Amino acid sequence: MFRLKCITLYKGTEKKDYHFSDNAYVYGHNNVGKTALTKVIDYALGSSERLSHAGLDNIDAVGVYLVNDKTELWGKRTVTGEYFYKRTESSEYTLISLDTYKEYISELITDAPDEKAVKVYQKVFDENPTYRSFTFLNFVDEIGQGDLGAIFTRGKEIRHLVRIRNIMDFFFNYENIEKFYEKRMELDAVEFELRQYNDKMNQYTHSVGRVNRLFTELGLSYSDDMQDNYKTFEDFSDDFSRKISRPNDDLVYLTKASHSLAEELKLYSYLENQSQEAGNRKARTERLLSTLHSIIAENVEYAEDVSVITGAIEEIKQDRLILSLADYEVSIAKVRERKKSIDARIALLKSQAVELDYDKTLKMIALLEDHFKIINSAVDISRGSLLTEQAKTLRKEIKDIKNNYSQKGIKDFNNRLTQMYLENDITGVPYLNDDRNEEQFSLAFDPFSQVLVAKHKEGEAVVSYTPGSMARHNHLQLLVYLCMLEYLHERFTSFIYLPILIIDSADQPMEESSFEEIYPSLIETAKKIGVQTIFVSKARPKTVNDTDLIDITTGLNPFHLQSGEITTNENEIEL
Amino acid sequence: MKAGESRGVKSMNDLLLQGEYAEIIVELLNEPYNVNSVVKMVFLAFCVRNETQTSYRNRKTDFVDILLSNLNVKLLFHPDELRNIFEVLSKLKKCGWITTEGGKISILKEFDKSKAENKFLAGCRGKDINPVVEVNKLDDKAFIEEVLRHV
Repeated sequence: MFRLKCITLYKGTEKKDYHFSDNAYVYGHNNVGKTALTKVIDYALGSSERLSHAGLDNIDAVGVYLVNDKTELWGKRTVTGEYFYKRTESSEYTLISLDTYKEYISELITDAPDEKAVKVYQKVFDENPTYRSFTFLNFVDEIGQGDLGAIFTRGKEIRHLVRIRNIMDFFFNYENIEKFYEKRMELDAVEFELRQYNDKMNQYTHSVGRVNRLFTELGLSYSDDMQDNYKTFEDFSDDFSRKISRPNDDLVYLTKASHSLAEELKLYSYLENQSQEAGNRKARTERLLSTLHSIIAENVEYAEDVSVITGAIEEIKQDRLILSLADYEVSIAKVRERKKSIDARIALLKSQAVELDYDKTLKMIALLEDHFKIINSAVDISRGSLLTEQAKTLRKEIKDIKNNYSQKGIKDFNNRLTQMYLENDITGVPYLNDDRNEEQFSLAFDPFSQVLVAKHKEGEAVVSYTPGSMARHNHLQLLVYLCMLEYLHERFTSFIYLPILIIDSADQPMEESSFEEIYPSLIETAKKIGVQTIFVSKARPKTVNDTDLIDITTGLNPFHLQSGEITTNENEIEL
Repeated sequence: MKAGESRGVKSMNDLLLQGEYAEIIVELLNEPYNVNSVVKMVFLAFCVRNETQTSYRNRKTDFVDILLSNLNVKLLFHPDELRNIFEVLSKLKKCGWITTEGGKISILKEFDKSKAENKFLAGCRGKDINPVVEVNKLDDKAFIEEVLRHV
């Protein structure tokens, strides 16, 4: 199990060690460096912030000694931001990059990290997660305590809000996120293939168009069948000779025929429009009469109207039947086809009349050869529509998954949180006893907004409310942190979060007697879920073992230049 | 058309107009409109049928003024439409679909759920602020006052 065993302050050849047990308790009165210690721990664990807290002057570096069941790691970070590590105590420190430093610490958290979960996170949130991404769950800072509207003290800043929201989405909606990831991977593959296919198809379409134009320029007969075109091209490239048009391909005759067909097309289009409009009008009339018929059908008083309407509807049906028999679309398509063929012959005759330049012809043959190479390479035309359909289905599924948010994780979490708060051995805490007596009391934490509310029964309804008392707020806040770590311990066993909770001055709003009772209960829960705790406080509960106690009443930083003044004037400098 | 021969073209036109108004009135009687006043039904149905703007686009105010402005000239030239609206209401009543008492309409039987083909009503469907619903918020007295401003 990952444990932070020691923190060291370095100054030249001198150093000061602080050793931590599994449930360390750092004790010291005001302005001795309690908060500074939490900053040192955070800094040693790779925080992006500088080590600028008051009282941490005149030190060169901070060190951290980490262990798990199999191995150990010494890390060191200078105040100028250089990282070092060593694997054995007797060896020398080696300079490494921040990424490697974080990687080595991650390796201590878990032997076999849940790589799939990491990949899912990377893919869905477009961010490479490290244990640093989740340190807002490890530090309960003094500033921000007791605020049920923003449970995580490090989650208040706007820059963290969106990230924490994503992280909560990941933790509480993992099933869907996982499915989402799989579908996204599938979609990526389909889209990649589709892109390749589209590139090929674009080339193919472009080449077909170019062949058509080049054939026209060369005066070759173009067909819709590319095999025929290729044969024509091969024949032409052998002897450069074009087939002479058949005798009936008289340009005058063809032009007249094309003109006549154009007139025919105009007439058919007019008839088609008229027929369509007549059909729509009759459909509307039938609909309106049917509506009226359905209203008055059962009343004998309107028998005459009903009979007229029935007759009219019958007549409309017959008319529509007759209209439907005239299929203008087929006729128009046939005429268009004929006209297209005649126009192609006209274009051919026209181009054959043009004199061909030898060099230009050779160039066009080379171009045609190139285009036929693309056309003759196998392009599965049906594949495109299949891939488009697949991508469309996957996009729809992804959208459905996004919208289908499961509340089960949050519900389980809140049940456990309520149980953790109410069901324990604490008896002497007044607000807790009050809550136990409330009918249907429960806690509801919304991980996305980071808001915690309580619920109880008022009359017949269960209503939400914000409970009072700063002490209660702090107690609940600590339980949310523990409950989150328990939730991760159960559901994300091998994920890269630090199993540690560092709490700065949690006892401040509580009465001493209350904290005496709450502290062992918190420690007990932490032990059960394998989380190391470091309490930092100016109170010293009787239940704290000597082995857990770290007394910093004489000051955290022995190298602090004004350490002598602190004991005499507390208000001047915060150490 | 045989109907035209037996009853005259005018009667067939009346039946078609009644069919159109029947569709509109049935939709106005149902959700989300629930128009339950004879007075409001008569003028709303008239305005809906004669509304030429099929969508009010992003309009969020002045629905009463805009919709009822259709009464202005159109009612002068199409007074027969009112007769047909009353005829439809009468048919609905006599055939046991609705009942009217003291100017209030109550639905007795469920209508077919199909929606009217009217383009304006189609444009109103799914709008966050439905113009007809907004106009229907007026009570009878206020509605008549608004109507009088436009006729």
